[in-house]
Amino acid sequence: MSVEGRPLDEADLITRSIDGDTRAFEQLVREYQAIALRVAYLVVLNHAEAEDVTQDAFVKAYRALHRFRVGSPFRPWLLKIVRNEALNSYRGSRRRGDRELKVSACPASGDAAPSPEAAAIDRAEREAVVAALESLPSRYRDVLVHRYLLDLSERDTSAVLGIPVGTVKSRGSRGLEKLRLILEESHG
Amino acid sequence: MGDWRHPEELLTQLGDSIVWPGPSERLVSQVRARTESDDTHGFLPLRNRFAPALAAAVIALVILAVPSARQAVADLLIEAGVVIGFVEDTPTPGAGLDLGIQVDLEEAANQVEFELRIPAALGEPDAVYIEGARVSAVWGAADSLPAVPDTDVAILLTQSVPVNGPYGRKGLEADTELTRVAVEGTTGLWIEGAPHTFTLFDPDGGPDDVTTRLAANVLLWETGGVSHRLETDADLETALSIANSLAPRD
Repeated sequence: MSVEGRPLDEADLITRSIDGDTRAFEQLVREYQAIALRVAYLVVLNHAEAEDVTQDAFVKAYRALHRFRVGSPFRPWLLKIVRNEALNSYRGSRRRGDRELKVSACPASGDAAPSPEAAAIDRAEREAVVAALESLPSRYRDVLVHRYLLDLSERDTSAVLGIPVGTVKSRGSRGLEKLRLILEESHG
Repeated sequence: MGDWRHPEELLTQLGDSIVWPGPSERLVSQVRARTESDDTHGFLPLRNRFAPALAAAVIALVILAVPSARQAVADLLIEAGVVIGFVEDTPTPGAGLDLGIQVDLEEAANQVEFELRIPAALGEPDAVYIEGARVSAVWGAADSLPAVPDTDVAILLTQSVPVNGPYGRKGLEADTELTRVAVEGTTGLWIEGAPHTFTLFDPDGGPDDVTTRLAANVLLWETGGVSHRLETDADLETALSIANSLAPRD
């Protein structure tokens, strides 16, 4: 969709969505569904549930757009809704026994195929990092997950978690240090 | 195994290897179908359409009606991030307490920067909810503590860090009484009387942070940089004894 041949910018899309233009909102959905799905997945740890949660969150955001301040960052506003929706879903009764963090056994695309020994070491390393993350207090884990697994900025992490940027910095720093100590104590 | 000295790199590598749910055309089409059939988009309840415009005038009205409350309103409530204003009507009592995500006490304490305290007079709450940096602890009815009518809640204690700018709006009716009280060595405000609504707004305007709920009598105070709000159907003496028993968790 375009205005005079130019793609609409985000503020235009939001303004049109507020006015009830569902096609404009659809463009926002396409733009942000990938990161929204990731935020949801890291809470519910189930692909199908993450998609359900993300769909519900987009609909909820659409209904709430009249209270969004056009010009302020849309992504963290949306992701906060997604996270809240995911937390509510997680605390519900759905799929209690079907949650897991799916991690690829292969290296990231573009890397050369490792030897079986190297692959086994990589896998053990990832398992160790996941175990260390799980053992962290949630206040540190939440910040590390959003900063490094989701690659969100400090500002977006602050908005999504509802804590000050300074707290994101301090918890991120302390969380990394605690993670390092846990890994060293557990695995040398 | 690996080099643990750089955990941020390990986390980034872990993120790269997670099997993420992929973009979905089905998701896009279902959102489209639901938004196209949505008839609540952009709807603002009548109460909310009028409340912002009336807020400033109503603060003055409340202050004039209750002169003794003037200093309390000016110095305490606005400082504590709460603004008093009118609402058009009062929702049905007991329509639901949308207090956020239910968590256990430990998790709530971990999630907030301030020290979460619990009144020794009540012991552990029956439920704890968190929304952003706001923690609400709930106690159900007991022999000595009746439930607020039409709810199953006897005590609702909310603790939060004051934020910049208007954070909430409290609708008061004409026969509501405001009294300045001493609580935890500081000055608080006791709001007693007709049912009123309490609407909370997240600083970002997030939709999950808008709540309308029945409030009974309310004790408001701020200490140690934390805003406290205790809602109960009990009398002032009981509310003060609960508030003054607040203590850090073990």
